[in-house]
Amino acid sequence: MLRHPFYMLYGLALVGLTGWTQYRGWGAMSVNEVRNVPKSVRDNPGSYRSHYGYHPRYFGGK
Amino acid sequence: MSSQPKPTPKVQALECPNCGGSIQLRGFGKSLSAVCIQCLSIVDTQSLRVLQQFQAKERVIPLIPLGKRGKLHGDQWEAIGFQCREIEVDVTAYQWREYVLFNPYKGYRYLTEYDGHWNDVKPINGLPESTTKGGKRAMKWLNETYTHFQTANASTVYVMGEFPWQVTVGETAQCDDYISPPRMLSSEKTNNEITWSIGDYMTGDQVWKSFEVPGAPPPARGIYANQPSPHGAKSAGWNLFWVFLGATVLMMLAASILMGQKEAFRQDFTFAPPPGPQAEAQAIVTPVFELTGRTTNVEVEVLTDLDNEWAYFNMALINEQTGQGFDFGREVGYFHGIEGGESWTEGKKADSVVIPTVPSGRYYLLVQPEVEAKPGQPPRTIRYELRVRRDVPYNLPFFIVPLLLLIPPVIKSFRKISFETRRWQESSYAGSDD
Amino acid sequence: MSIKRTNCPQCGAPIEFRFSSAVQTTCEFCNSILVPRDLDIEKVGKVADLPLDTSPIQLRTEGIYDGKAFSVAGRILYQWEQGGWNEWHIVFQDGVSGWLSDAQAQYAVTFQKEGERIPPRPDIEPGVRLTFDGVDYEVTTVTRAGYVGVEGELPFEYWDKTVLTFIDLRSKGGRFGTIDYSEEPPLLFLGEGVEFDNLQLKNLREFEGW
Repeated sequence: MLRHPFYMLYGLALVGLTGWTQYRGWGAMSVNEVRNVPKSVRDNPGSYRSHYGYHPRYFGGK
Repeated sequence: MSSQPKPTPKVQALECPNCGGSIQLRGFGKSLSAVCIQCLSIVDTQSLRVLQQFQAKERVIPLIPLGKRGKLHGDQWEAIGFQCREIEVDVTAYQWREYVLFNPYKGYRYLTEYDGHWNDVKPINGLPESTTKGGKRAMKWLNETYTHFQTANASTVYVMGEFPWQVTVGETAQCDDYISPPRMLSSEKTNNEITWSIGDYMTGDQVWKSFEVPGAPPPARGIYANQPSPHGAKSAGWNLFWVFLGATVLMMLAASILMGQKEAFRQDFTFAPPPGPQAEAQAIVTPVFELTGRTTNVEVEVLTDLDNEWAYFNMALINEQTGQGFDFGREVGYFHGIEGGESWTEGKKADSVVIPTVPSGRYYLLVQPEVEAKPGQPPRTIRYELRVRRDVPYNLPFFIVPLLLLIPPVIKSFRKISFETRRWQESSYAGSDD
Repeated sequence: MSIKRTNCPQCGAPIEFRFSSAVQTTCEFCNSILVPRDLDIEKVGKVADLPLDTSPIQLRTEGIYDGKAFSVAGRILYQWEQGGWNEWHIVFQDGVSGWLSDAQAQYAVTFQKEGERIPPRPDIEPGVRLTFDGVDYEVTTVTRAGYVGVEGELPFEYWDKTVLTFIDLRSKGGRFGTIDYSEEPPLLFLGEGVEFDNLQLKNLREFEGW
């Protein structure tokens, strides 16, 4: 196995990365994080403006 | 003590019996024939008869000058003879060159050169054993198996210098080559006998360094029979691939066992689409729920009772205390009907998303649903359920990582196979030409 | 080992027998072939001046075979179509005699084997299989050679031959053998091919420029 030192490192890195993704709880990349959502949103949910990029075109609205 | 010292053998010159020219003898009486370069006569050094006088359109100049010495395997060797030989395959003649190397203590070796590829050849004493390898004809010698590569009839077309046999231009031999890169086992069969030899592949640079030849060696073209593969004799690493794949699978199992996957929130909702085509989307917020443990992911699932409609859920997971929010959206659509006596369905009623690295805390969901019915249908109130789970396995890496792991061994295997295919194209086993 | 010293009965030059196994020697001054008999030495023949040959081995060359040291005591020189070849008589420290064959820079060490049944010459041709001392051999070459001469100490009486026939034997395991049909009964020698380097030879011939 030590005949392939680079592949060994590469494979260990990939397997290690896989474990890391589970530990840190990775998920879909398309989720957009926002900060400082005001507490008033709970009283007036309609005022919230989403920062999510995708919106299917065949729905009306923004 | 008593013995009279024998005279030290000296390098001699012979007078050519044909033209009187001077023939240098470097082989200390061991050579059996020598060539007079002036008149191209081959002279028998024992009887001093002319064995043959041959024709040549031009004098060939050996790349290693005769008389030059080089170091091989820790010994000095002097180039004392040179010949050009050729084989005919289909209608093409392939010519190569051989140098006779001499050391008065160690005997003879040969250096062959073809298309810039060199071989350091040593005659062997003994008979290799006939065998097979991978279904191919092979020979075994000193615990190494050599696969048959080529059989051809070689004829000598030009000679210069001295030889330890009575060489003649036009003499032929049946040559069989067997390979075990970087070595090659060869046999030469004439009417009287078979001689075996082992060759070790050498690059032009190595030969030039050994013999201190000025300038650059001829460039190597193509791949030679026993040329060692630059992609190494070791495997492409497939064993290691399986190990890593196994590790990835184990990790997948471990993730599904060890991760909490705890339900943090679940509730049913209804949504009545507002009348009118351009109405504002309505938004609601869920009650606050707790997300515990280390910073990890959150799975939000939407399950609906759609019936021939599309629905789009614009959502945000918002931390009540810190104001941190995660925006996302999910689209679902479910349709069914009967056509030509067969019922069909299309789409799905539920969908989910995994939100990454959400710190623990108190959260609520903000949901803005939109519904679109098929044209001609009135919009109806739909029911949907939201389920939130904390700490779930994220499966995408488990599909991407094996593909990434495949890349190096696939590339290596491809290169090795490609090299060996090109090597064997020069053999007797290559299919129809061009 | 004790050296037996005496004088050549032909020319009076000092003669040494360095090896107790020597049955014959030559006088290097008058080229007489001498055989010790009981109390004195008899001259039995003469050998012509050996041609200047170019083997790297000479009398008094020393080497090691199979872990045991030997010294070159004498030789028999033959001539055949591919040139000359020497059979060097080597004597080991324990007194055992062997033969170091030196032809076209290929070397072999063999020992005389007595007591084996050797087929008559007409029965032999390349490809014939024979078994000696439990090992299977195949006849590989039949060589006709001319005797050129002898030199030094030999373990048997051997001189004045003309044309001889030699048979080469090889076994799958790398063993080598020779049958000399110039004597009656034929002489059988069994041994193996050796690499020049493995013999660790010292006191070799010198060559101009090497």
